[in-house]
Amino acid sequence: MGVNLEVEIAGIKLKNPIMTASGCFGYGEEAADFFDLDRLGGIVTKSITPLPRTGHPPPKVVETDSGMLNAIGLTNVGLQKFIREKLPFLRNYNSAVIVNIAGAAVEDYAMLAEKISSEEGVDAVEVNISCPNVESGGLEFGAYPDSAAKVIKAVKNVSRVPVIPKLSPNVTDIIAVAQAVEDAGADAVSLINTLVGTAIDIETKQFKLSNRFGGLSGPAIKPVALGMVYKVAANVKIPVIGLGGISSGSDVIEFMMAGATAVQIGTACFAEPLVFLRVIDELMSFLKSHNYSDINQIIGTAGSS
Amino acid sequence: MKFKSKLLNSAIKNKSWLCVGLDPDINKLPSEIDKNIAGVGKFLRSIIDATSDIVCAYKPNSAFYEQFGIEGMSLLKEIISYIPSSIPVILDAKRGDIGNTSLMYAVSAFDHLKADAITVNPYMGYDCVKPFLEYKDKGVIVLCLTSNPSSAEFQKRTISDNDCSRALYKLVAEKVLSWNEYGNIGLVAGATSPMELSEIREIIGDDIPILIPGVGAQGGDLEASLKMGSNSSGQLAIINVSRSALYASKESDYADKSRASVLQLVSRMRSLLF
Repeated sequence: MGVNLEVEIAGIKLKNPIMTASGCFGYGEEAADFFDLDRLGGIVTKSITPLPRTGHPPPKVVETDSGMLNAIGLTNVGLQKFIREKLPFLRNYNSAVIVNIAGAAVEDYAMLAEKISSEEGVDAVEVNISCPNVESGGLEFGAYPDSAAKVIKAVKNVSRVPVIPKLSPNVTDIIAVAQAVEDAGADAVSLINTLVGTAIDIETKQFKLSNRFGGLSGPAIKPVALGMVYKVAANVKIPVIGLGGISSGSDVIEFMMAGATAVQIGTACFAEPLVFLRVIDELMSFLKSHNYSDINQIIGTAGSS
Repeated sequence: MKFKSKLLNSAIKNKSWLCVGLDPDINKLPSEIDKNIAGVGKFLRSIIDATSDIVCAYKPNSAFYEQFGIEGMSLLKEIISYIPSSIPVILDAKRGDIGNTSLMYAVSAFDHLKADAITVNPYMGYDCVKPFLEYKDKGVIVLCLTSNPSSAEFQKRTISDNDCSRALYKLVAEKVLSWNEYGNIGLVAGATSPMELSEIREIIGDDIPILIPGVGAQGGDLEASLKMGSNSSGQLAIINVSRSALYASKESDYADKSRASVLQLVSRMRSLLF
């Protein structure tokens, strides 16, 4: 007997709940050498900014226990080159294409959303609100409900495709931020982005990252991510996409039981490019052995009998 | 190290495409600085100390040193050697003469003064620029479109050959591509209309730096210049500021104020590119 893996988010049908996390997959070109990208439910691209960005000088990644810190600095090809060169490549596949956008001002986000959502082949925009707001002295848009809502409202105003804010965990109250972006019109939310952290070399006394601080990702953050997914899913009506340290089918099940309709995998694919395929297999095995006919049956069932 | 590599390294390390023009004007110096060569030297060294971690290059204009006579040339050499070796120095001298004479200019700039790059006037044609280009590790930045009031007199005149008609400055941009055998050529294009900057970048492609003088203290010009003058990776548009960076204050806090003024532009640049 077959098991249905198809899920739906804001009108977008995903053949399975497995998507790539922004920043870990580029624009798909490198991974296409390893496996057929059509196996994926969705592809979330590296963040696009208005201009091409060089990002931070090295060192920009540091391995930690069960994870890694990154301070890449949003290095990306910029809007023009993305539309001209990267998007056409992604159109070759039937997996959902979700373009992640990042800006330094509300106007940047609106401009990016308007231009990108007008392009063929874009199924949704994921809004990276963990960016410093230049006008407010560098405070992240996603740090507070008001600033997060302001960005989402501006994006929703001009976007021709569903809008998915990606929430930061470095906040006092993630439920408040989630509800604020839901009220502002978000079609779904994805969480969590990385946790702020650092590392110090005790021989040189220097910070290991050139930027001093970076974002922690990988299995170390999974318990934090899982907890936040559960809390947010219980407090908003829009679908939740869960991410943070996922590297197995059982991780995916945990996130979906916590309330996620779909998930993203990022850090795990650096050491194992084929993680997506293994996870889909493990998912399938679990569902079959536990007599589920449809993956949607497990969503939000944590804590029930 | 080659000029272009040095430039990229310092831009990436300092997260900045800003170049400070070291053009000393004795009338604008802070009150406490002695109005003589020694004072000028002290002033410039303080400015360099206050900004060397946030610039991609420095650009002393030879005229501003030559105005002091022989001592001015000594000061120029001293200032160039004072600048940290990881930061490229562009000698703005707009040189160009017949072959052998150009060579003398190159010897002066590169062997004596040890500048990493020089600005050059292309009016006399390739054989006058070649002696500079032969210093393969040094940058040769050719005047293309300047932003002075009379610049349109020659630069904007239409040149027609066969079935192709375009402004002289575009012909220069096309020409320098064929002069780039050693990968050490650059262009000067003032922060004039963004359209022209973007046309120049379109002609020369991704590998050639554009030196862009004339950006004021407002953010508007800066953003347009970066957007239109950068290559498709957001690099190689060198934004030069001089007066707003050097003369931010007449008081004893002049170095701090200078840094703050530069940082204001660099912060905007960083939010866009780094």
